[in-house]
Amino acid sequence: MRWRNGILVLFSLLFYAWGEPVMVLLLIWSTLVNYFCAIAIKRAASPKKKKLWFVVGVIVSLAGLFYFKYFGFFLSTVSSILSTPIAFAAPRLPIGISFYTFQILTYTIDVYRNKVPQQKSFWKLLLYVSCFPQLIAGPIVQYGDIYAALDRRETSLQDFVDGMRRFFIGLGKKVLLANTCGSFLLAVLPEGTSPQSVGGAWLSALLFSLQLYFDFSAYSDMAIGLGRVLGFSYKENFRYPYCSASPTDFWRRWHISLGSFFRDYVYIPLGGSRCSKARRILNLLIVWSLTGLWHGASWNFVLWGLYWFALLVIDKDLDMLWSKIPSIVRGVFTFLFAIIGWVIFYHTDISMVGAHLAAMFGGARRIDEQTVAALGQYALFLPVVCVAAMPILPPIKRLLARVPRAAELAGTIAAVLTGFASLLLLVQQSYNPFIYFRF
Amino acid sequence: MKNKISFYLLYGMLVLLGGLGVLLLIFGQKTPHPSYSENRMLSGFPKLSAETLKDGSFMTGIEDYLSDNMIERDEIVAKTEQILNRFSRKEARDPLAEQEELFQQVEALAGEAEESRTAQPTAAATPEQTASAVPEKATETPAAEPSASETGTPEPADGEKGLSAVPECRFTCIKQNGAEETIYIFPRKNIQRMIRVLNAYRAALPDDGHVFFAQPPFPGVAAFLQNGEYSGWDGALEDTINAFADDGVVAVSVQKILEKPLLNGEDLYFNTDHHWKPRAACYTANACLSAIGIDPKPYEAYAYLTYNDFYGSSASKPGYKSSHEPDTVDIMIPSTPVKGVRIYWNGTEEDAPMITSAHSYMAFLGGTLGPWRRFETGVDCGRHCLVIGDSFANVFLPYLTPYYETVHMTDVRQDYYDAGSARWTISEYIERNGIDDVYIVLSTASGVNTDYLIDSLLKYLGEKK
Repeated sequence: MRWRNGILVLFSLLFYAWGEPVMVLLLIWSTLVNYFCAIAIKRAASPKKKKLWFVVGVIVSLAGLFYFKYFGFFLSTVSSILSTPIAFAAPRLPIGISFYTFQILTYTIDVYRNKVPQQKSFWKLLLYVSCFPQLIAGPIVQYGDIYAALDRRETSLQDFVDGMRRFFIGLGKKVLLANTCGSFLLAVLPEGTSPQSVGGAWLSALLFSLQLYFDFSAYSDMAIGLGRVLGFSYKENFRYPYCSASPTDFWRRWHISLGSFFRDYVYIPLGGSRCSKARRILNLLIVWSLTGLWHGASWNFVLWGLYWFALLVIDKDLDMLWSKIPSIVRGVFTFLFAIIGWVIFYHTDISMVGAHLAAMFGGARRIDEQTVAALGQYALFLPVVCVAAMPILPPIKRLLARVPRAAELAGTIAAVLTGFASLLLLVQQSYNPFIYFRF
Repeated sequence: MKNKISFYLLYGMLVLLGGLGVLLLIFGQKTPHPSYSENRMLSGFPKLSAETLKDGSFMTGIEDYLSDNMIERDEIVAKTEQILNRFSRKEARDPLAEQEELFQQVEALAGEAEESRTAQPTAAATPEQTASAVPEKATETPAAEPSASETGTPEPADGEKGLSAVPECRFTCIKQNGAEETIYIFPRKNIQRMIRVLNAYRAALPDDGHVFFAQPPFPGVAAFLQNGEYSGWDGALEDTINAFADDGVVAVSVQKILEKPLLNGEDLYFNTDHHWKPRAACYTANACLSAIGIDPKPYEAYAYLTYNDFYGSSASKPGYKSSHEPDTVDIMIPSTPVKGVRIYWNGTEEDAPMITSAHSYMAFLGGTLGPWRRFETGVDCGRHCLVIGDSFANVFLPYLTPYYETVHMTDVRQDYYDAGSARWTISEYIERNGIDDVYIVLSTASGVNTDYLIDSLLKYLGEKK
């Protein structure tokens, strides 16, 4: 196990250094500080000292995130409030810093809460933080879910087969579906422009919703698949979110690991739902402001967080009324709410958000030629990608469960073919970043 | 384990992918080389040094190298395109036939004006011949130029015959040892089409109007002249266009304009962006203006806003990992107050910026905004021009503002323009706004070799709604 962990740490660090040759040191530093803070928490004689080391760990972790991600935004906001120019060259955001910072935090917080044992080996802690499948775009793995596997994990050929199949499916989702959605979106709504018609506005919003889902869930699939090959069992991060029955349900299905983090480490410590209504609303406001900010240092993300805050408060308060509506209607409304939310998320310029929403709800024309041309170009792709976002695989799997050997072979062949098709498209497309890398 | 075949299949796939990567690393072409099907340079093996490892450019270079040197890459790209097109509702079409139909429509619209233009040369022009012909044509006034009948040059029966002698042209890089490396091939059919487009635009202008054509190269090509391996560029596209196009059409060779400054180490292209810098655009605009007898201001004569932390379009993409330091860039501040407006399909207007505070390519005109923009310069000269271009024109346009009362702009690429949102055809727009000169500024990526753009330039010029 020592060798396995050592090799995995080495290659994980090389993997990160491939994308961040210098900033890999920040990751190691952050892990090192929290490693020693956890030791100090365990050895502290008094609760006061425990708390002190806990605060040091949290502050050091968040300081890096704040400096790289939010300091420029903070200064520009101060600058505009004071109407005084403040010169500051914002540093480039290290890849995956939001993800690994949260992972480190779960370790220090859980050690402080006595929920998990303090990790004696720095290398094992470094492996937890840097493990390459989920390092740069999640899922956010909580230390409590994984620490046992750092000491002991087993893998079988079946794990390898299942994991690699999941990996190739993820690769296909990214290259075949998400990237094509992105090209389709650019054909409808070129970068920096606002929609010219109602049709263009809704179609572009739909395409971004699908692109984001396939892009992010693809990365999660690849991470979960590779994790399984390596003997780690990562929790699911998406469960067909566009089939949700309510806004609350949506957030139980979308980026589940982020929702779990904010629930376990912010919402519940603030008092959760077991408090007065006003306090609950305040707690939700804090959580959703932070959720918005986590996605990026820009006001549109804050607005997006507040939009979901409003929807979730209304959802909870109108639960009795809402539950009387047929589920299919609720599902359609939830999907529309999500699409509108992604419009706010998409445009970092608030005026563009306004222009896009105005076009969706009363644009100058019903359809413009650019949208018609793009629809023509991607005519068959749109239904394919819409169906792919639905839960079609589970019933197929259930059906094929009657012939398990044939089903497994068919699944493998499909995964291999998807891998080949992705490879061919990757040769053609030279630029394939994951959207969530920027968070 | 239910089925070991699954294991062997997946394991085999992994071995295949890994093996392919190793083979490409060992046997792939190590030097940059052109892709004729994509009209771009494919990546060579990146330079390995402490510096390139530190800034990450070695890693991104390896990724580009592996992707660009894939075995049978051209075949893969072509086949993939074919497969993707099966998902499209587009019908199989004959672009040449459509083109011909469009030319006929536009020529019919141009009518008498087209026929009265000067006759074309009929003999095939060698690059040397055409090159020597350009300066004469550019500096002579139309009145001083002998007519076709005076020179005895037989007047072609129609434009097609006159253009049949147009040669294929190339854009080449000359190595220090004198060997030439072809970067772009411009097929004669495309040059013929572009000449006819330029003639059609010329016909839509007043008698003293001009149509300028400039095709800036990409930074990757420009970088060749600054890496010490190449001694210059060669190409005769613009000379050929000048030799065969009507009077009043002026193709300026951006290649020739920028060659010497690049060899002298001038900073003309961004590192973090795929566009040219204002200095390169200014040189090109000044070459156009000089060709019609205007003495333009030199680059240094303008006031500039300088940013030292300029990240261009490449850097603005999500997930982009810069392997370069930020660029330093000068944003030209017009010498007179310029009021810009964007004109929508319904005729409504809203303010459009000339410069913005963005420390990215959006600094120039706030990016590309369709369908029309008008910049009122406050210069009382009575002349008006229209710039038709891709994003390279955003840096170019400001250098025209001292010489025109209004500078208009449109971008006919499919992402920015459609007949419905444009409201007017380009010829209608020219007429409504009293346009004297038209500047067509398209990068090598969207110029002569882009069929649909040539189609669009022609279609939107004359199409009546």
